[in-house]
Amino acid sequence: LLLLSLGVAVWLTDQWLPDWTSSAPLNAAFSITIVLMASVVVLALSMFILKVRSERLLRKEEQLRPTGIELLTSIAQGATADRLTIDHLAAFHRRSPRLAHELLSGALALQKGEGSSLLAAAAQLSGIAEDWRRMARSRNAEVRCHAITYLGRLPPGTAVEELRYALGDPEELVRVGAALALINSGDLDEIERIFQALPRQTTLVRALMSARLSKHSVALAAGPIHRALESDDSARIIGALDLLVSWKRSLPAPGVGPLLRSKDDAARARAFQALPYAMGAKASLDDFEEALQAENNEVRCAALSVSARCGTPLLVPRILTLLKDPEPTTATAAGYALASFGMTRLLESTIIEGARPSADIAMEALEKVRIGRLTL
Amino acid sequence: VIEHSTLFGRVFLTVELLLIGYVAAINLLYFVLTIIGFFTLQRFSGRIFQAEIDTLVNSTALPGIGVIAPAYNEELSIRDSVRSMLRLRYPAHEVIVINDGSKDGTLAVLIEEFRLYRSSRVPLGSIPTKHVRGVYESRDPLKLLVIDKENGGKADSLNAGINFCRHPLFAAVDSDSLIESDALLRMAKPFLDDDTTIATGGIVRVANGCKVEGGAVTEVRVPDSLLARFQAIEYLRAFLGGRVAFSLLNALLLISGAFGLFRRDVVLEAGGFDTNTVGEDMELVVRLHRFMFEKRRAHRIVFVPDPVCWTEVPESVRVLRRQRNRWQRGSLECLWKHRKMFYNPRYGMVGMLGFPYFFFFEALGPIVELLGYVMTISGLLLGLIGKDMAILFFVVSLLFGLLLSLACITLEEFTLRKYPSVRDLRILLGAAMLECLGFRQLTAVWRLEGIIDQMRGKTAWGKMERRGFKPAA
Repeated sequence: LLLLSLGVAVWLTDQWLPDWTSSAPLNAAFSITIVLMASVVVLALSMFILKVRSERLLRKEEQLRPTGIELLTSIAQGATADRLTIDHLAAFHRRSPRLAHELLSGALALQKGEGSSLLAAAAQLSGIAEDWRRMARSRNAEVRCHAITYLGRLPPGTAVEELRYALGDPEELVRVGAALALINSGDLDEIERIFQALPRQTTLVRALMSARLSKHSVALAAGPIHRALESDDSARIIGALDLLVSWKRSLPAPGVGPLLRSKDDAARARAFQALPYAMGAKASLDDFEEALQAENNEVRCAALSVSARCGTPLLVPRILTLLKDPEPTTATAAGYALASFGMTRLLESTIIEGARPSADIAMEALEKVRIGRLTL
Repeated sequence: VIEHSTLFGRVFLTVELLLIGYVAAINLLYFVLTIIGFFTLQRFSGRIFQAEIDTLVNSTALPGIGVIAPAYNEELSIRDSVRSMLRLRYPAHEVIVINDGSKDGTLAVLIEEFRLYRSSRVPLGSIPTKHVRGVYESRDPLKLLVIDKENGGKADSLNAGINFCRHPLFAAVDSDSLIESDALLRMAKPFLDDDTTIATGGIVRVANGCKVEGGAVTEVRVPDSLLARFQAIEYLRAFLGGRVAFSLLNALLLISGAFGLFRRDVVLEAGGFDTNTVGEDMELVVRLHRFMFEKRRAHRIVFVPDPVCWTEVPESVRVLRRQRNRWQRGSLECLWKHRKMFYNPRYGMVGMLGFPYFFFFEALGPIVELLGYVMTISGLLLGLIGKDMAILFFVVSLLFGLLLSLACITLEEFTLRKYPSVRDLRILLGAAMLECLGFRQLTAVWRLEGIIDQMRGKTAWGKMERRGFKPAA
């Protein structure tokens, strides 16, 4: 094939380019050389110019930083009424907008109460807050993201409209920033709205939100989580259960009980995981028995992991059979469950029997009990 | 002097023309890939900021990660490496060190330093590996597992680590590489964004010359040695130019063995790392693609354009030659093993773009490049090519190479841990200019040696000597 294609190429060259070393290709190569040389020079030069400029800017900002910090400290300590200080802040903002935004938003994040209100008032009067509002409408996603972070640091209720609008932003990080700021404001209606939207978000967003929502866990458990657990929407149920599991905090959630018999394996497994934290959720022996016999490995493991905390020793014979489960994760979870029930004798006899891998798993579980680290 | 009209002259000129076409195609492709890389790095979407990282570090909703680090005769550096891996910022990670039959005191150092006891931990995976002599865990509340096994190579050690790992994700790392403290979170992000992600890789940067404190790079500097500077340029070109673009097209064929994050269940299903290859990192990625396409499962293998790992590159010509030889053999082995994927639409963009690219431009690259030099010189001597044409061709090739290097240095300015000073930039630009004159040709020769060794059936890894990182002043 190689020889054939070479032959074809020779023939084609002969036909179309009988004298390819003539001046035409030479001219073309020469032109390309000129273009490339020019590109190299332009690229190298522009890189240098940009680098030098950014270094200068950084140096300038470093020089201005102490002045800015001093100015903001004096404002936070009660100098807002002083028109001159506000004028100074506005002038500082004009001189180095990026640094002014960074310092002011940083100060707003650190200050609480009176200091925060004074800084917010200064932001309004100096026109910096207006600048942030303008930035929040920018076409550049990065600028919008920064603006939402800054606006979110203003005292609760100051920039609600902008933050609410940003919840519909096409950029994920802008939406997250707005949601986090609204959660921090403590407005329960806003928080519930954000909670409702959670099941449709990615794992990353849910992880970010669950950390911030934990402050409002009691209020959420009483209303939105309760309603979600009683709904027919699988995504909402799983979202609510995930939150309960991630908070690791005892909360009233009787709705978890019926989900232990759910036909949806993912919801059922999560219901078992959430059971230790769900106050008022009732789990019967049958719920556990059925879950331990479930076809789905995730359900079996979840039931095993909470069996000692929420089940009864009556489950032990069933768990012992799972020690021989062909699925290694289930068998290991069974070993740990037996250890959690304090069945050391049973584990020892499994080791003496010597049937592998159950003997090895029993040994591991026993060892973990002895050193006090019984977590999978 | 041979006439153009003779059969030899015509064949010669045709081959020369094909070579010019090849050079034009490869440069054009690299240029397009670099431009795609430029736009991807500029994109805001997909980034993660420090505030988010700080929130996620305390989240209980993230999947756990087992950080698997094979170690062989590393008694001098293993203490610091493990400490730095234990310090990684991630809410649920466990460090799994595999002592791959070290002949020195690697295991003894680990036992003493981390107060290890012989544990009864059971492997949950069943990939066949060399005999595991013992498993150790720390008496202290450290998430550390040490597996002591008979020597079986890096791939075998990683397989042992996968068997013992109990987290849904695992990171395969080189124990002598430095990992950025937020690297696990950055690399895990694509898994959190999209359930179909099965593997991620990040930018590996050259650590030579950088200041290192407590197992972390504290100051980014250009390497002192010229050879390391050339490699710094090469790494930038490889990671920022090619991989960003291939990831966008889901045709990424390589995740660096220095640091890659994988979904454990998928790797277990696919059979783990291949122990019979010297390029186990590339082979696994290609096999994962193949496995998922054959099972008709949606999947993504993603390149994270963040610097996540720092590695020490060889500063001696002898060691570098061995390394390049091994890389070339690894690529060829992998391409041959999975030749079924070549231009096979069943394997999507991997078969239609990634695989042919690797074959034509990475595997055949050194042959064509060296053939080009030989033919140009002999053409000049035989009077088949004009002197001016030869010089122009040479200058155009050099300039194109230089332009690509400069473009990648520009791209580097968009990454998070860039070279900080104008002086560093000046040194890098100088190295980029010199790199085209000699170093590139030399690596082509070493890679050609790799092709010949592969054909002869050579399978040795070759010894990698390291100088150690520069401590902070």
